[in-house]
Amino acid sequence: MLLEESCMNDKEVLKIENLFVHFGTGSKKEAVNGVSLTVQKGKITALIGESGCGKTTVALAVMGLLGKQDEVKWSKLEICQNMIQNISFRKWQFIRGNKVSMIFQDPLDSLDPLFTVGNQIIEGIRSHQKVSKKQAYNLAVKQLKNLQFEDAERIMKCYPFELSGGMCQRVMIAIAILARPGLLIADEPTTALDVTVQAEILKQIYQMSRNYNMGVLFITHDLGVVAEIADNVYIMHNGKIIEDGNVEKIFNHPVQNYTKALLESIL
Amino acid sequence: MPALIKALQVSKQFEKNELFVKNKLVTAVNNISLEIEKGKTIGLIGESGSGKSTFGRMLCGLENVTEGEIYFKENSITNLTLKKMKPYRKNIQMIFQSSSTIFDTFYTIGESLEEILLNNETISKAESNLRINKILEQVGLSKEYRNRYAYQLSGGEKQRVNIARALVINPEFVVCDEPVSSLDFTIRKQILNLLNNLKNNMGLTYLFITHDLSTIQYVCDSVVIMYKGKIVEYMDDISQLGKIAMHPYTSILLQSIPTTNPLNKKICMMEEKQSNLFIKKSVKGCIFADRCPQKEEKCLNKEPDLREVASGHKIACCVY
Repeated sequence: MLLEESCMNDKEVLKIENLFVHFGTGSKKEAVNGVSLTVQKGKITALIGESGCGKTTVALAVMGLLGKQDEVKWSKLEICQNMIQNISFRKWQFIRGNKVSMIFQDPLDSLDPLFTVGNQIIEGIRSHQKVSKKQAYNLAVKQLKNLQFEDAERIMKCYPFELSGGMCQRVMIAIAILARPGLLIADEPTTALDVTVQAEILKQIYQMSRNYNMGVLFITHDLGVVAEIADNVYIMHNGKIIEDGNVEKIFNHPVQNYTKALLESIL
Repeated sequence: MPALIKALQVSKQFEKNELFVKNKLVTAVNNISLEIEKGKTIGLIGESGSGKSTFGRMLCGLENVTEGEIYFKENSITNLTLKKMKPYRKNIQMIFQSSSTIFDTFYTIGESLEEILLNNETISKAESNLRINKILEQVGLSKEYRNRYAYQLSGGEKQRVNIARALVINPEFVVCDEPVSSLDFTIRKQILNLLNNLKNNMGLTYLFITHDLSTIQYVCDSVVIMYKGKIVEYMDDISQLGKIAMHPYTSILLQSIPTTNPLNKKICMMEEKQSNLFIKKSVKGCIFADRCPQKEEKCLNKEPDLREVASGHKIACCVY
């Protein structure tokens, strides 16, 4: 079922084997039931499934963001050649941001409304690199210019509510890739956006992954977006991966009935 | 054939109240005229903030009109009082976008539907019981759902009840405000099929508001494209969309639809262009001039009117 293991090990930026997540809610159901997946360097891997199938939970488990009462088990979890097993909070803080970052569905909710955009980018830089405030400011402006903000200095002084949804999402991407992580997890980054803006963001993520040789785990329920951006695809249903493969194979020769049903729901 | 519902040069301005700042007027809908014939479905498309929902709410009488007139079967329904509007409410209904917030959490689905029926029609309880069972069956739910509360339903079921709520009093005209955009991909097609079937069975007329161009080809007969409160394009025959010359905004919208064929990636392969995200608040001349890839000198001076370029096809653009 897994992708061919012929690829070199150092090309894999994320390797999960047998991930189980069980929420401490009293029910016996596993939210994630034995998920294994790999993300390769410079490639975009899509994780598709309907709401409630556990795709966001996989992302949170990889980021170490699940609560203490939740039971998380895996036989192997490797992020950019770092084995994750009983590691300290401090080590986690190093891995998060430097090795792996995440962007979320609602860009307005993930930025702090009380601080300017510039403040939040500078905070991100200074928590990972030892630089002066002035240097951090210059880095931040440069980063925004990389993401095609023409008037980066003005954007730095704006509060999140002054920006449109698409601009906020691009600021989030800017913060996420500050330290050039090897892996970016994008959890439905375009679901809340207009089609024209969605096209811009998709193009940006695609170019980032190619330019910085970054692996992307792209979580979505929209098959159109997947056809547009992904190289490899995993289909998830009820906490399990039921089919995986290269995007052309999944779209043109699906094997599982659920995948076929998904493809039929394209308008 | 006379139009079922007609909007004549309708405008809507909102007053923006800010502390210490003089009240500003924001024009949400700017001089729109539209006629909808019985039995037709018109798709109203625009990005967020283009005023499409405001226009839909004005047709339903949920929002006052600042300028212009709205007619329902030749009767003016512009800014009627609540009492005078009531007989029209029965015929003009709206399906709202968010299905989770429109139901009273203390009422069961049956009680919610019953209240609407008894408020709008003079019928006995036994009769209303039958009507509720019938409408639930029509939207594909069993009658056990009457005793459930809104939080006990899934998103797709809630949207079905939402549709039942709008259709239970047999309206003639229904405004669907983004009925599928909050739903999962797999349920989307089911709901659109349901809307299509109900339209054929009950003889409904829809105004279908959406920002997603891929859904409208599935349900609509004609299409209206809105940008910043104005109609920039009207097309009588939706199958012509993408085939004939059109407004630059429409072509940007069409290019932004993700492909369904992975061998034919178009968005990621698009050439470097000037970013479309920077939208200025007010521009002189054509409202679209700051984003338009085909703009010329004259676009900045003259505001184009909506004019007919072919039969059943109107465009507001100076270049054509």
